[in-house]
Amino acid sequence: MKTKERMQILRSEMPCQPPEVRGKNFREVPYGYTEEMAIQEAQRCLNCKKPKCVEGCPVRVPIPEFITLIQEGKLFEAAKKIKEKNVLPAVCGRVCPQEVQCEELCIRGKKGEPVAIGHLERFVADYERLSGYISSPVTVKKNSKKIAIVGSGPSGLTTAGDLIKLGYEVTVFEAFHIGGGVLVYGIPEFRLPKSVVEYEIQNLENQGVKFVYDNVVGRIRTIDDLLSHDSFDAVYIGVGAGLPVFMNIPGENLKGVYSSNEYLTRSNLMKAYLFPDYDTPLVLGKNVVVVGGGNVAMDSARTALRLGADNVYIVYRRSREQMPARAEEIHHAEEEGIQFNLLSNPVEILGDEFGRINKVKCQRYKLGEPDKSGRARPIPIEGEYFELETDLIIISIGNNANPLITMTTSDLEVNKWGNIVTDEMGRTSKPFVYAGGDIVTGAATVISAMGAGRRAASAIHEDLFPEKDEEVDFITVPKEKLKIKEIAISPESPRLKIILSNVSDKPLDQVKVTITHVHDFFENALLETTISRWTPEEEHEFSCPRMQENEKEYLLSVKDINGKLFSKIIVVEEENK
Amino acid sequence: MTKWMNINGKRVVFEEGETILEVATKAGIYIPTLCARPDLPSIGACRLCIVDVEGSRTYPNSCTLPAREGMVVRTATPDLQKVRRNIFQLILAEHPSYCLVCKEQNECAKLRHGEYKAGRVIGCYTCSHKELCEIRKISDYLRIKEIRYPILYKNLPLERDDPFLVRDYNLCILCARCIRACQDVLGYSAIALTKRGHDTKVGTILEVSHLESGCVFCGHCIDVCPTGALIARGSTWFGSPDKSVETTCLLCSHGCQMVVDVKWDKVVNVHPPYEMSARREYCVKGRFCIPALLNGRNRLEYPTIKRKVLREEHYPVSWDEAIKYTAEELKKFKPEEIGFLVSPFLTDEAIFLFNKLAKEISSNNVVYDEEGLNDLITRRIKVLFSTYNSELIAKIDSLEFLVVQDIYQHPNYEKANVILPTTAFTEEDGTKTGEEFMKNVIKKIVEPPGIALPSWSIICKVAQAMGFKGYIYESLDELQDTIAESDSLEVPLIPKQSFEYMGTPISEKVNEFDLFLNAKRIINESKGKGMQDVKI
Amino acid sequence: MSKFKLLKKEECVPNLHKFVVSVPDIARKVEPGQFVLIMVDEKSERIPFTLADWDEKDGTITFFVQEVGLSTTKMAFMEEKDSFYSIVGPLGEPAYVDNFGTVVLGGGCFGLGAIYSVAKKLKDLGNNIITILEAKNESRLYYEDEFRAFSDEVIFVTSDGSKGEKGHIYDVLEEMIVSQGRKIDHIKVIGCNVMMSKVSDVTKSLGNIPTYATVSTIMVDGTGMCGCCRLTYDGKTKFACVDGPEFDAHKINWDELIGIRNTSYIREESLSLQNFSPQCRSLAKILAKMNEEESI
Repeated sequence: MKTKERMQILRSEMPCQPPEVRGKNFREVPYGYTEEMAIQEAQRCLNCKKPKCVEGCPVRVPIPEFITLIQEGKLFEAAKKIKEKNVLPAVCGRVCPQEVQCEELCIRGKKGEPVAIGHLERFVADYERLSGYISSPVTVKKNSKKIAIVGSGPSGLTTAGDLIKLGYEVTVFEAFHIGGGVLVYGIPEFRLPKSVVEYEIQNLENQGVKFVYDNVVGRIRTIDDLLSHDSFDAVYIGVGAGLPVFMNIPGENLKGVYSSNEYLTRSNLMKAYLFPDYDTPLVLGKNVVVVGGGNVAMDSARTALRLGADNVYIVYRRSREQMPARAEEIHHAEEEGIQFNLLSNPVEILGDEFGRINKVKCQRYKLGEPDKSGRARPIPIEGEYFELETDLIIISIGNNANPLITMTTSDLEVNKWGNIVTDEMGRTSKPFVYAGGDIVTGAATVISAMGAGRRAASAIHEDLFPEKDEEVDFITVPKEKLKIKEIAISPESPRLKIILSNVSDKPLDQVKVTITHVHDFFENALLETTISRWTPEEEHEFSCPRMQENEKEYLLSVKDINGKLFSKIIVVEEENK
Repeated sequence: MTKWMNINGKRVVFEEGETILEVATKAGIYIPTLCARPDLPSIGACRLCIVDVEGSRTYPNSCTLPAREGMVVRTATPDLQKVRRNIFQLILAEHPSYCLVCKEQNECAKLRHGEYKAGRVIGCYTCSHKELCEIRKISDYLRIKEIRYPILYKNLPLERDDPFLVRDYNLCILCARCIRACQDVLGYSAIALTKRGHDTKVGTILEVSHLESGCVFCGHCIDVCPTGALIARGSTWFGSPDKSVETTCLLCSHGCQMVVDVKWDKVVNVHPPYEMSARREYCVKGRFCIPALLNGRNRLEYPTIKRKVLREEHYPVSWDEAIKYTAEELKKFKPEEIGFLVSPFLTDEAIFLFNKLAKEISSNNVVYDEEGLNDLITRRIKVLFSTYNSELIAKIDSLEFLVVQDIYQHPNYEKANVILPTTAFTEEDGTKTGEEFMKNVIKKIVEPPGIALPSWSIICKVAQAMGFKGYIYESLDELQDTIAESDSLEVPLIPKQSFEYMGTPISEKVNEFDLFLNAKRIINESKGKGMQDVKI
Repeated sequence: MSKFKLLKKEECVPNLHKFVVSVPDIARKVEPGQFVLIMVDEKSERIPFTLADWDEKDGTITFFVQEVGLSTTKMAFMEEKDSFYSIVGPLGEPAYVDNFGTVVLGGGCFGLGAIYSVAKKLKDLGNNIITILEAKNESRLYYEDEFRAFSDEVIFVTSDGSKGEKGHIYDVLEEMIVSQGRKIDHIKVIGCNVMMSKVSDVTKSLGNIPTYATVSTIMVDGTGMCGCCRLTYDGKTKFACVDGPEFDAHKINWDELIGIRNTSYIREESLSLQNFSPQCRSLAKILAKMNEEESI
């Protein structure tokens, strides 16, 4: 196709749910591209000799290459191409602020609309996910080094994804009961379906990353414990900025005042939007005031609308141009009927005799000279106030660093805001301890946290193995290969017996079968054996001793040359005597 | 001949056979009682309704004493009240009633609102029945300030192993209303007084579970209990409802009149009207299943259209878009290719309109059940407008376009091109013909979920979009007038022994109903009987 | 994943259940005064429970659950061998302990059990321990023997006078200090916020006797992330989950904590209980009985 032809194609807008319908449900707002739309959009790319777009991407996704593959209809290959640099493409395609990153630098944007790089990234990731095939890397030789990653948010997942490919044994510690960090507790279902995050984490698990949930590092084990007691070779801290900032104005502890962290965690992680099917409740406001102008504020406002609010107001100190939220989110919020009160800020929250809020008093602002961040500084206008009737206020003016980790770790340098101090590769003041994401930079974006995770991974590798390793290849493998045929306890000796059968139509190579106690965190294997070639329909019997009479739960995990096949908990019930 | 007697110095009329309590109640004179009720035979158990009868040496129970010509009765002399207080205090001593006389009552109410919604009742502040409690009312009437007897907590275990019911006999005052309702009024004898003396308690004979005792879970015992000893698990803790509306139950053709309690715009409880005349035997579905059935998860809230983006999926759309799309597609087919599966659970109005539309496009394919649908399948219809969830609709090979209208999402709708959300019978106004051509009225009591619409209004919109005239009704009244004017409408009856609502199995939405059915099946099978013997 | 197995459960007094759960990691690390956050199943809320006891050797933790709402009812329906979906801990700061001299420990409701671990620790540190246990009625008092083992004196107090003194903990305290003139160096209370606020008022007026209270708040994450458990302490906003749960009672803004922060979800509680239909145990019993009959 000639450049002239490419130049004539207009940007394909992604079809969306109509605003009057989507304002009442939690389904994802954009429908996504169809295959035809994606290929057409891809053809707009001029495949520049010196692609600027890549420079705009914090993880340096090979953008022109993957778009070229879409043009050729090679969609799996396109997905593989992105995954070389980005472990979470389906997430980034949805939540990155492309208009100030890759798309801002796109040459097509100089005259007209830039190529919809974000939409295309989302498309190929979805295409691969929905096809039921997963690409996972060939297992490289294990290098016998153990890495602990604290926090399973975007930066932790990126670090884990990079390190597992390099042969490390990677364990991710997560405080919540499910993984994903801000991707599950912060970003709502209508913007990022949780099935997408779940899939990405499953993907990492298949590659061998171990996830330990319900584990608050800093309380149950400190960073020092991880290095000494649990003998990890390095620790990466990616815990995010989880300390809500309040405004310190009168009335802030009245009933009906939420931090956006609480509001969104209840709704997203605890699924309060499905109440009463899920148990966690959320106060449903009729007139909701959201304070702030970032993505989190937009998310809170749109969640409140979907939960049945009649009026949702955004109150923000600066004007629209300075709003830090993604352009698409502001646009969607506006379409849905969110009302913007710009250049104003709450000064007092008023309540009734029962301690329930009923009004918020705001002061009007004007813009002054730019401040350090380069944004115009908001200046309060003396004596100009107005009041909004409200029964729910969500404060969404940012997050500070959560001190839980820094408080409990020795020799870890932090700055005056409590953020961990690192070099540009994520090395902290403490040897073999690395950090990245919001805990270092303060609240920022998913993709910048991923960039930090990626840099830290390479720093860890450099520090632990000073010489370079070769690149890792990807292959595509289908799911479900082995099945359990039988589980038994032999009556004479207290041994556990498991029979497995290859139910796929291909032989499996280098199948490693491990049995451990479920409660044995450090996995002293009761059985560890490798079968070099396992032909279809062939059955193998595995047997291991039972250490204690009352230990009934075993973890069976099976990997082959391509990575993890499955892991299953087996509960042995005693026979009746 | 009119008969007269004198109560509290007032001449009142009575009829032969009436008790003094009945005469007094009719005359608007209050006599406290915890055991008597107009719909139950009186036994004089609580002794609170004692009265002073001139010429009598003792204070007889007014609930069992028939009125006689010229009788002179006083209901609240100081001496009588003193005796009553004593009797009442003895009742209170075996009921966790410390809160009644607690000096910190007011402060407690201020600070504790909302706490303790579970477990055994250990005081009024933990009792779900607090706002309806008859003991509290009598305590106020008798101005009880202290309890002179030590309070004995019976420490009986909470009985909550059965579906639907929770029983805390620590609260029971042995008034035997439940037993009379069960034995004397309904004739089930699922419960009786067991044990003797101090250990006397209400229970099942041989102490088996209620599932085995012959209990049909009609809930009458709960409705008559004056305390919080018997409660319906799903409907408790709501306190007094925001409103209570009488309407018709549409779970079968029987058309029972029922009172629906609404709190916070949700159906929270269903029970019979108080008056004895309206009282008839309720079934477990109507008494216990309606709130959970209608408030369940996955109610359809907005229309969806099936589209292919990356794969075929149902995407939310506006009503206008859904209707326009449906009408345009319907117009592409020949009349005989279009079929209508009309649910018998729909209102008369909706059924009338479906027939009218079918006639208009000259299709004879209106069916009401699976048998009829089988018939349509042999006729190889290409379009089906279904208002009833049936497994068959997923299996019609000849189908090219499927519109479904329901209150819930079902796996059978995977193939549907359009899914339209509609209202349940507590969310719309209308009429429904029941048994013996009885025209029952149903009322809109709560708002439907999301943007769901009543069936009659959906069909009008579709007909209009297809270009037919005469589907604009100013109001439901106008539509009803039209129906009255037209030829008599033959309306299918809802099956009487049905385990579903509009094709949604009740057990799918009401976990406890599932348990109930399972238990009954197991018990029946063990006795060599089948499921047909399970009466609901 | 059945990581958190319920080993033992008993109803000590009406509505109050003692749970022993296997969580070796937590049992190894916990200090007196810390709590755990529990989810019963994957749809549950996250609710905090102060640990009453633990056994590092067996890897078990013990806590008390008062049936007050949906999640605690779900827990009451659990049976031995069942598992929790999630238990996170130990969370919060350990209780402030030292050799104070004479210490009064006051517990009410679930607090009777919750204060037990603190009592043991304080005894180890050489304190003279006076335990005051409060309940509405005699039938609601428990853990008497356990406390006797670690207390120099155990006093009961009931609102209706059915056992021990009639009244409340603060009445007993007032009498000890004012009428009997006893010297008390430190007071710790665990129980409902109302009781603790009253104790705080009394000890403040009687010469600012150091009083520490373990507050109960609604929580979500338990790591300081959501701010749901915030309270005003000494004029500043503090989070119970990371700054507490034990605080100097005299500096807490009790009115705000009791009247405002903790009563947000009354309506939702009722609605969620409507949806709760536990496993019908009588069905299981019928099946068991039939199997038994068959085998005969």
